[in-house]
This record gives sequence, C-alpha cells and structure tokens, in this order.
Amino acid sequence: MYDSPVIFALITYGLTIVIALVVAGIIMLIGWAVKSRGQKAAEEE
Amino acid sequence: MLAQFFQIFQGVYTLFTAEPLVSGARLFLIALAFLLIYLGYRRILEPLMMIPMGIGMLGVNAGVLILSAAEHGTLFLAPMAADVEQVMYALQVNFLQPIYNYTFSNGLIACFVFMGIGAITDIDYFMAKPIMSLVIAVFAELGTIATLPIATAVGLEVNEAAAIALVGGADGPMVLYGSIMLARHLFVPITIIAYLYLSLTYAGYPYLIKLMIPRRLRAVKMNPAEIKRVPSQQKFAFTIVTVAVLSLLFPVAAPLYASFFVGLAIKELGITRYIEFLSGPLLYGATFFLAFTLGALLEANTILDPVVLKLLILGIIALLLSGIGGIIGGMVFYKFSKGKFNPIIGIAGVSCVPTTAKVAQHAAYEANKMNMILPYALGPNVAGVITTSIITGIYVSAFGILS
Repeated sequence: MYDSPVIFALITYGLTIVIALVVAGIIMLIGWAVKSRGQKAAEEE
Repeated sequence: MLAQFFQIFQGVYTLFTAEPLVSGARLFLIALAFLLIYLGYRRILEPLMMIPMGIGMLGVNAGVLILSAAEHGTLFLAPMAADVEQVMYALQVNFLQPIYNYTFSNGLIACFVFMGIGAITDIDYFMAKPIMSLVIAVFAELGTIATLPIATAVGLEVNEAAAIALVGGADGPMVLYGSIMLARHLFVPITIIAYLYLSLTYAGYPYLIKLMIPRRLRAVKMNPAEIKRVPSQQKFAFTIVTVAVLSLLFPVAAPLYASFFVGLAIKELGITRYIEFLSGPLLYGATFFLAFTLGALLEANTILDPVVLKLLILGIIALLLSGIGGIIGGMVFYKFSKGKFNPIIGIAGVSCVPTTAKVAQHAAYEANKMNMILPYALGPNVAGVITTSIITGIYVSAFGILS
C-alpha cells in the first residue's frame, strides 16, 4: 500500500470520507439523543 | 589593525568573510524580512504573524558573529543541536533555545495554538449542517491528497511529500505539528511556506472564485435564519465523543485532537476564566513565539537547501488544488440543491479559520450586496479543521517518526 503514492493517496481520501461520515453520524446520533431526552422530560412535566 | 577594528562589528565583518553564497542568502533574507514587516504593517499580510516573524528573520540574519576560528553563528538558537552536551551548551548560550527545545521540537506550541483556536471556534453552523459541511471539507482536501503523489514524482521522499502536502489543509499549527512528526529536517521551511501562503490566500482565492464561478451563481442568495441553533449540551457531547473516537483511531495525532477539543469543550461549558486564558494569553502568546522563533529559524543555510524551491512550488500547488476542490464541492451542492446553494461556500472548506469563510462572504457580497453566506461558510470551515486533522493522523501514522 505504501509503495505506490497514488494508491496510498486514494486510500487516504477514501478513509477520510468514511471517518468524516462517522463524525457526521456522531453529530446526528447525539442530536437525536438530546432531542428525544428533551421530549421525554417535557412529557414527564 | 583594520581587520581588528571591523571585528568589533561582527555582523558586518562576517558578511564579508563568509562564503559569497551564504552572505548573498543573508542579504536576501534581510530584504525579505523588511518586505514581510512592511506587508504586515500595511495589513496586506497577517501582522500577527509577519511582524514577529520578520523581526526574528532580521535578527538572526543580521546578527551573525564569530563563534570560533572556523565557525560563524548567532545567539538565537541552534536547531541542529542533537546530543546532550550540545543541547546543554545551546540552552545556556542561545536566548530562544528554551522556547525551541521545550515547545517546538515536541509540537507543544502547535497544541497551545489549537487550544486557543478551539476556545474561539463556533461549531453551531457546523453541527447544524454536518453532512454539507463535511462533504465540502472533503472536496477541499484535494490539495492535501493530490500533492502527495506529485511531490514524490518530483523526487521527495514519501514522508517529506506528506509533510508538504499538509499545506493543502491550510492549517498552520497542523502543518507545524505534522511536519515535525513527518520530516523534522524540513519542518522549518515547510512551516514558513505554510504561514506565508496562508497569508496570501486572502489575496489569491478571490481570483480563483471569480475564475471558476460565474457572477450569476456567486449572487445566489441564502437565508442564514434557516440555520437552527444547536443546544450547548449537544455541542459539548459532540466534542467529548469525537475526541475519543479520533484519538482511538490515530493516537499519534491525539495531542492535537485533545488540544482542539478541550478548547471547544471549555467554550461550550462557558468556563469564562479558562476561555479568557486560552483565547487570550495562551493563543496570542503561542502565536507570537511561534512566529518569532520561526523567523529566527529562517537563516541563510535553510534557503540554500535545493529542496526549498520544490517545497515553494508544491506548497502553492497544494493550496491551489484545495481551493479548486472546495469550489467543485460548492458547485456539486449548487446542482443538487437546484440552484439554491451559493457555490462560493465551497472555498470555505479550506480550513484556514476564519479567513476562507470571510473570503467567501466578501465574494458573495461583491456579487450581491444583499448576500449573507458567512454562517453557512463557517460550517465547512470548521469541518475542514476536522478533515485535515484526520488526514494528518493518517499521514503521521503511516510515515511519521514513530511509525
């Protein structure tokens, strides 16, 4: 993988896309958790 | 007698007694220092960096003295001091040696800057539009990715190529940290090139925008009121989870992640005294010493290395490709949104926070005086810091001094 800089660069780009999507997923998951917790608290009140 | 008289003025004396090439390089750097100071004074380049860097360059290139019968040097610092005896001697003689040994060679100063940047970064817009922000930021990493094979093709070792490719991320502290970990022998020219070019993005990117985006598209209006505010607890939770995930993936870049996200977390928690400390004395103190020491590292021997010319060209290629990539990303979103997205926002994916976001806003305002795209541009701007840190993590893990 390290022998060809072009292949390594492409793999790096692919990994960056995947990890960026994971970060986006974390944001959406936390957003969903905070929202549902807020709704639960409102219902209890 | 005359020679003894001139030896009193050793800065001038060494100019005439050194090799002509070295003396020529010194004079060139003194002239360059004057130019940088002038451009900083006129606010054409960033004065926060250019004034201390220029004065550091002036001091180190003018203040050369006779250290021994066969050796000229300065009382600034000795970056090549390696063994314990040399380092101990340098620490006692050179006034910037403690700063260099305790904050530069281990990347601490970059981490200080990152803590400060974290404490002033608003992640609201990034978290409100995470997919758009991150996708554009990935497009804007084109230079960081494509420069690696280009640099190896022109003869650089792969670790050196990775270090100069990081200039495409347009993130000064990240370039400093990455180049120390990847190619310590080149970190001085690479970091200086990065900071010089980052100052130039403000002048150069508007032309790239005009070249690639027709005025009609630049004038597309967007409504910032549509962006929802994100609750503080959501932002705090994001910083904690993300620093854990990124550190798990790339432990070699964990100091950078921890520094940036601790600043973010403190800002979101609203710990006023820490925010004031990180965003004031720490950020500006670190930036000042970073610039001053970088200037002092830029002595004649540094630019006489033939690899520096390659680095100069590759650095500009990296930033240019990243700008082009970001604009392509903006155009993709313009197409997908059926003309409701201003493609200039793409340039903000180049993570020079907040310069490229300001460049985007300025270009949009020029095309349509009613345009306000800054909040949208801040999303990809912050996302760019994250994607650049991911690529730094990959490069350093693969080719760094610890790999």
